[in-house]
Amino acid sequence: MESQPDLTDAELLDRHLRGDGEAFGQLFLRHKDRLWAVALRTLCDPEEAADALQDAMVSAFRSARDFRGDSAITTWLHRIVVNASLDRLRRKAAHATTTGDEQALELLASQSGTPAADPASSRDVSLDVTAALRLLPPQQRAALVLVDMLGYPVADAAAVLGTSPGTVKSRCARGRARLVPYLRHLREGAGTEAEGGAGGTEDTDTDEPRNRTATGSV
Amino acid sequence: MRRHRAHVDAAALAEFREGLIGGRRAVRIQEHLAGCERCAGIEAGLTRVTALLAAVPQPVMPDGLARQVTEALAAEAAARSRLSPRDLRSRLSLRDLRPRLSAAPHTLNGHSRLRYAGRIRRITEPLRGRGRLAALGFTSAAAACLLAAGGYALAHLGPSGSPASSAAGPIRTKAGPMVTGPGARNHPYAVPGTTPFMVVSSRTDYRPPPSHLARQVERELAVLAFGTGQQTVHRDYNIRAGALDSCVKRVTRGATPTLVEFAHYEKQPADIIVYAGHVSVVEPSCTAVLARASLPSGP
Repeated sequence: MESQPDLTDAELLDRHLRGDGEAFGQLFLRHKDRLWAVALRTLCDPEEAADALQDAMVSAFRSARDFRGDSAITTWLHRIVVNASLDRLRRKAAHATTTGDEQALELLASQSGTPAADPASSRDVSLDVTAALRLLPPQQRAALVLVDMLGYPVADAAAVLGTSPGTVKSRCARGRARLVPYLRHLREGAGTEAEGGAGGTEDTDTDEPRNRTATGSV
Repeated sequence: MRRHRAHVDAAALAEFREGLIGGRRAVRIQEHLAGCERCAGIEAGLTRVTALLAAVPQPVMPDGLARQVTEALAAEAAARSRLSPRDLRSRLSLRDLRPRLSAAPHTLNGHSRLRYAGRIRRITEPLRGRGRLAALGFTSAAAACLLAAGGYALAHLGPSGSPASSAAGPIRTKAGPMVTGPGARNHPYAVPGTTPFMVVSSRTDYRPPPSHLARQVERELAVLAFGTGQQTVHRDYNIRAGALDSCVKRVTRGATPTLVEFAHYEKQPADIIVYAGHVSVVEPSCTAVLARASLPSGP
C-alpha cells in the first residue's frame, strides 16, 4: 500500500467514510510509528502492544463515523490507542501475576546506589527505564509516556487522555517522583542516601514522618 | 520548630516544579530548596528522570506488525458491503418462508424481539388483529428458518467439518443465510456462488452475563433474518480468506458458523461467532475469547 502524502488526514478520513477501502490504511501507515510508540511504551510488552494497537485500529475503523472533528485526527487515533492500552493494563491487573513486576523491582533495587556497569550503554538505560515504567500505575505511566517520552505538550497529552492539563501535570509529577529511586543507579555519581517519599499516590501535606528516612513535607 | 527542618516530599517537590503548588507552601518549598542539599539532590533526580525518559529511542513499528494491521484493516474494508438491509429484505421473500414454518425444527421467543425497540421498528409498529399475529408468526419463522438453514449446513458438513471437504463448494442462499456442505445443492435456497457463511457488521454492544449475551444473539439473528435491522451484510467474505477464516475455524473447530458478526463487546470491538447453538465472542485479533454462551434455541 503506497502512501498518498498529498491528502490530509481529514481528506483520508473523509474518503474512508465514503467507502474508500484503502484510505484508513493510509491514515494508519502515516502515523504508525507514533501510535506504536504509545502502545509499546504504555504496555511495556511488544505482544500486548501489538494486539492493543490492532484492536485500536479496528475499533477506529469501525467507529470513524463517530469522530466529530472536535480534535485533531491524530489526537483521536492516539486516544483510541491509549485507551486500548490502558484497558489491557487494567485487565492484566485484574488477573495479576506479579512475578514480572517483582523481578523488575528486585533488579532495579539491587542496582540502586551503584553506577550502571556501562553508563554509556543506551540499551541498558532503555531497558532499565522501561522496566521502571512497569512499576507505575497505568494513568501515571500513560502521562509520562506521552509527555516525557514522546514529547507531547501537556495540553495535547491532556486531549489524548481526555483529562485536564493540571491532571496530566499531577500524574507526570507523581510518576517522576516514583521513578527517582529506581533510576538512581543510572545517574553519574549516584549517592548512597535513599530519597524519601518517592512512592505513594496521595502525598499529604503533613509533618508526620512516613518512615525513618522520609520526613514531613514543608 | 520541626516544620522548618522538614525536607520536601519527592512527590510534593515534583508537583511544585509543575507549578501545582502555590501560595505560602510554594514559598516555603522555595526557601527550603535554597538551603537543602538533600532536597536539591531529589530535584536533580526528578530532572534526570525526565531526561532519561526522553532519551529512550522512539521505537519503529516492525514491518511485520504494520503488514498485519494493514491486512486487518483491509479485511474490514473488504467486509464492508454494498448490500443494504433493504436488499437483504427484498431477497428474504415471505412467500418463501411460509412453506418452512412447519419444517422449522426450532422457534424462538417471538415476543421478546418485538420489544427490542430501535431494531425492528417495523414489527413493533401497531398492528391490528391478524396483521399483528402475522408479524409475530413471520418473525419466528424467519428466525427459525435462519437457524434451520445453519443447522442444515452443519448437519451436512460431515465429520471433518472443513469447508475444503465440501464437494459442493461454497453456496449462497437466495434468502440470505448461507449454507454449505455436500447436501446444500438440494437445499431449496441454495444458489451457486460464494461466501459459505454470513458476515455482518453492526453497532451492537454485546454484554455479559452469558444468558444476556445469548438473548442478544438470538434477537440479532431474528432481526437479521427479517432484514429490518441496522446490520450491514457482507456477502463477499470467503471463508478461505484471511485472518477471519483461521479465527473462525479455530473457534468453531472447523464447523461452519451460522453467523459471524463484527460488533462490540462491552464497548470494545469484538467478533461474534455463532455456531452449533453456541456463541463465542473473540477479540478481532483472535488472541482471546472474551465470552461464551449457549443459545437456548440450541443448534
